[in-house]
Amino acid sequence: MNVFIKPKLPSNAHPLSAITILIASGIGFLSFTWPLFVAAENDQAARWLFLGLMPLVTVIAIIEISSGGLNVKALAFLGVLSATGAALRAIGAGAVGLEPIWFVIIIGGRALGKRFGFILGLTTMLASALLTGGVGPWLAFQMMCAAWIGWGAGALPQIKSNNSNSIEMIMLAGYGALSAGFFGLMMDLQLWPWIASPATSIAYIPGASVFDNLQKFLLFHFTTALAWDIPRAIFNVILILLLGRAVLHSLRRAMQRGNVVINHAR
Amino acid sequence: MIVTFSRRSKDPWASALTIGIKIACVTLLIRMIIAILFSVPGQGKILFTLPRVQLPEWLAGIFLGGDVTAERLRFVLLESLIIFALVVTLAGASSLANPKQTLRSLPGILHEAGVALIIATTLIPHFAMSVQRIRDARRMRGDTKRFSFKRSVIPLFEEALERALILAESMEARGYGYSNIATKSRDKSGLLTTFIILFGTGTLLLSILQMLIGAKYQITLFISLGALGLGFTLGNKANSRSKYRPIPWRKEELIVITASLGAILITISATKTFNALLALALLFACVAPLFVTSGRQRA
Amino acid sequence: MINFDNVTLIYPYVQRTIFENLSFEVPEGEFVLIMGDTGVGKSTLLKLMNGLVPHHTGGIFSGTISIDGRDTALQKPRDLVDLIAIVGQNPALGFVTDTVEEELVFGMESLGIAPEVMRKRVEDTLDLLALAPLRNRNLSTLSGGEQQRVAIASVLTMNPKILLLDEPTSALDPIAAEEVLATLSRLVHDLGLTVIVAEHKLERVLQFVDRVIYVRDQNQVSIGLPEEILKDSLLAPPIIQLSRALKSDHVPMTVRDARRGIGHLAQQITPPSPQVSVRDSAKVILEIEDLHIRYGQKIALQEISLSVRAGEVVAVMGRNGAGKSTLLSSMIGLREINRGLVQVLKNDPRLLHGTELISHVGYVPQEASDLLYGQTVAEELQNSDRDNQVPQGTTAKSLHQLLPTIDTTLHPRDLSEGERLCLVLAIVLAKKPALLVLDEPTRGLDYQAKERLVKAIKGTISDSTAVILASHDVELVAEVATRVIVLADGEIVADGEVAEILTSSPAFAPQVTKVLSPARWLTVSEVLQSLSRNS
Repeated sequence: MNVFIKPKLPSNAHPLSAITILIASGIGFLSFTWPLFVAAENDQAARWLFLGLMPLVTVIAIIEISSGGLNVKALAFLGVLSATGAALRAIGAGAVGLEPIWFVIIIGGRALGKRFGFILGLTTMLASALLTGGVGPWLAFQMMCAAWIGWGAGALPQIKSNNSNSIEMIMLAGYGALSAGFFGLMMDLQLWPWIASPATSIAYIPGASVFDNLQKFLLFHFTTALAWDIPRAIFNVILILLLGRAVLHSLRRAMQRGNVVINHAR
Repeated sequence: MIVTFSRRSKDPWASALTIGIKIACVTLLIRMIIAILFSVPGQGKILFTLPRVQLPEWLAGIFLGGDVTAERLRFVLLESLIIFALVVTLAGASSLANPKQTLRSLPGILHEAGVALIIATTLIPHFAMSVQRIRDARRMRGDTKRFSFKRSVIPLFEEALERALILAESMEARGYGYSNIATKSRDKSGLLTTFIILFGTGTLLLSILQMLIGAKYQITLFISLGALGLGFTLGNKANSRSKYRPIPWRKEELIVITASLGAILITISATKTFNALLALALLFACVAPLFVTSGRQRA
Repeated sequence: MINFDNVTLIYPYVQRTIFENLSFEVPEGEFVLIMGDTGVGKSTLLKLMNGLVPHHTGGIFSGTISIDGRDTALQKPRDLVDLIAIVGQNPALGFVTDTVEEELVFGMESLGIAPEVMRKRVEDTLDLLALAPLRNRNLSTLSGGEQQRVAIASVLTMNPKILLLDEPTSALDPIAAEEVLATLSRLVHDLGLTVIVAEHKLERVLQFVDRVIYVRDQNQVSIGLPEEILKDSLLAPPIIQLSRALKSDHVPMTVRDARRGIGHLAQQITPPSPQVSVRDSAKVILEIEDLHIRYGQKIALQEISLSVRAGEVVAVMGRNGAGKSTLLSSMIGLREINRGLVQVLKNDPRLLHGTELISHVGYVPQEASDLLYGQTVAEELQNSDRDNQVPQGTTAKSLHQLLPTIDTTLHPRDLSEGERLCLVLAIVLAKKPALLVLDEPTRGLDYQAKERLVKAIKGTISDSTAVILASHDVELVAEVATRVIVLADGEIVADGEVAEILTSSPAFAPQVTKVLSPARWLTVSEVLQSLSRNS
């Protein structure tokens, strides 16, 4: 006699997969920050290598997260939320720093957990790039960054207190502001070696100390931070504070509903 | 807005090339501007001189303003062209591929992600229609509020969720992700694949660390890429799809691809970066097994 | 072929035992019908067969289900697809590609079939289902029947031995439904497939069926020949109900069967006299004059003129795509009008808003759940009272009249189709609108739910209200309508009393009419009434 009980949303992942994803994230992190550390000899190789490695790393991450770990309901959620994020990005296209996609990723990650938040970041960023035609060498970097942000949203502590709802929203809004800055920082870091030619004084110097390179980078980053990161952070905070609670509630409800007797006739 | 949206959703990825070209141009421009603004002291034919801005002590090493030399500019321009070509090629390639078709022929190990992405790309065009329907329904319920989140977004979301489940079921019912290897042996080979990929990823990290500190990294890199390639092929064996018809190359597509590839090759050889080519070639070789669909022949 | 052995299924989240110790066997090469009330588990039974339950839905499952010797528990549904395939209720929602040919090919690609084989199978399947001229068409441009056939074709290309279909004709008009069912029958007889269909509209499907599985309850599942099961089943199509009404032992499966078996019995009773038509002095509720509506180049409606008075129940019928939905939505002010006049109680509905609008018109859309946004039924009822500005509890009362046993803590989307429709009706009727408009209300409704709907509609008839419904459910129209309007290609081709229209058209005749023609009978209840008058 066979008896199975299928769990709803939590995925049963192999611990090995988790380690792989951790390492892949580590490689991802280095793919962003390499200009600060790289030794002079391998500089040229490094820039091309990391450019090509990032897509590889995101593929590895996707493989390990999804192989056997997500059940149908999770996939449906993933599809719907990615579609929402992509559609929102398409609608609000162009406006500097106004990116509703982060709202979707953060709230989605918060409602459905770390693992889900991770892959949600990946798929939403990918779907939105496909929809808006924003495919380029930066895409894999954006995907990884979004994945970390999604994971982080799920990793935030649970609030158990009287005012749990408001505290949670404030926490998420704060996270939204931080992640906006984080994303801007990382993407600038990725862009830096490519947009500042070695023949400029704001470029990184391979083999120089971390501190020196950091100095140059921060100056470089300063201007874009003003233009993009701050509007993005503000927009995230506003969206989260206004709509976050309702959407979160709705998502959690949808998760809980067994929804097993689906009457489809339409 | 809804009209433009649905018109866009007809073929949004086709505009990727134009967008890519725009972005590439902007990048080129910014690069040149940065090169002009942040000079590096050195010899060369001076084209013009910008007023030098004295930066505080702690920003030593960074020069704002100063001489702009022709040599430097030419160097930067050459680099920028490589990057330009790269961005345009990628944009071009992505504009050629219909994501729906690409998603369907994803290799087997990416099956779940494929399901989610297919759901996403199928749902998006329907959003616009659903929005209209729900707006009508709200009006007929006597709702006069301009925008009520609860009443418009929640039915939209719940309906999208149900449709997503139906889609997932439909894909499952059509055998998406089919494998005729028995579950037990599939589990075993699955474990092996996970191990191999873990090994590959770990050695990849190692080779990167080696590279960063300036040591010889090539061997470790080779090993890691080989392991990953092996892992991917192994994981792919279980469920591979066949292709109904090879998508024929259209003339414009061929032209775009040849032009951009040619541009890249020319500019790379001009600056003689052998390491870069080698690295790129290696990466392609590693990723290729993923996308080679070995159609198992079944009559 | 299909073997259920002591199967038990429990859904822990709703705390229901769906099936308990169920055992039966289905032989190969038969056309099997699964029938039962809504929510009892027909879909679930179907999905158990191919493993979607519990692999996709979750649940506690014990027992063994083997399909042609293969155990469904050991493999995921997608791995069984070369043996058993399923077509869901709304095929349009399950399409993954853009064109007909691509959709057919999707399944085969998943199985890794060689390209030459795929090409041949595509051709064969296109011919088998008469889809060849539609080969390169975009899926969204197809009619309901065509979409259903494409959905069937898309799983047929995988050469399964068993085909499962969940309510294949619910969205189709009678002619398209007939086409699909005839095709399925051909697959059984010519190709030796085993086809299993879960269906409410028994009158459409019984003539093709070899065996019936009747799901009464979790423990009571009977399987047998159609004549046996339907002899005394609660659920029965009109011809069998007619046979019972005429006190005959005959259990007819087709109209011809019924005519031969019981036709003579009806000669003893007098057909009903023509209904008293609505007085011309009754209030005019809806007035439409020379209506023209165009979507871009396509003409949706032209030269529509009609007026509806209080006390009428008007059924708008016609093929899918004839313009029924457009007409209905123009009545309630949702459409841009190119030419002509639409007035409800002398007001243009496009200019009405809020409570004024809903006291003029009450609208039940095709997708009833578009109107719902609450998290529980109780919340919906409260919202309705608030929106309609009626005293608290009004909507709840009318809901209880329709559905006395409803559990108000359920989420509206967890209700059955019939229950959801009743909820929406209660909400819409709370403000007692002058004109009640329903668009295809009978999708997915079983006979009981339809009875409830009929009662609800009849309950709203008064001297200040009228009802308009679009439907291709002929039996429902026969029960409840007083007048029928037939649309074709955007024009009115027939407009008259229900008896006149329904008895004069082979496509729209209810079963009772076909059995007892040329006498003008419409429904079994008419026969029963006449019998009781005679005796």
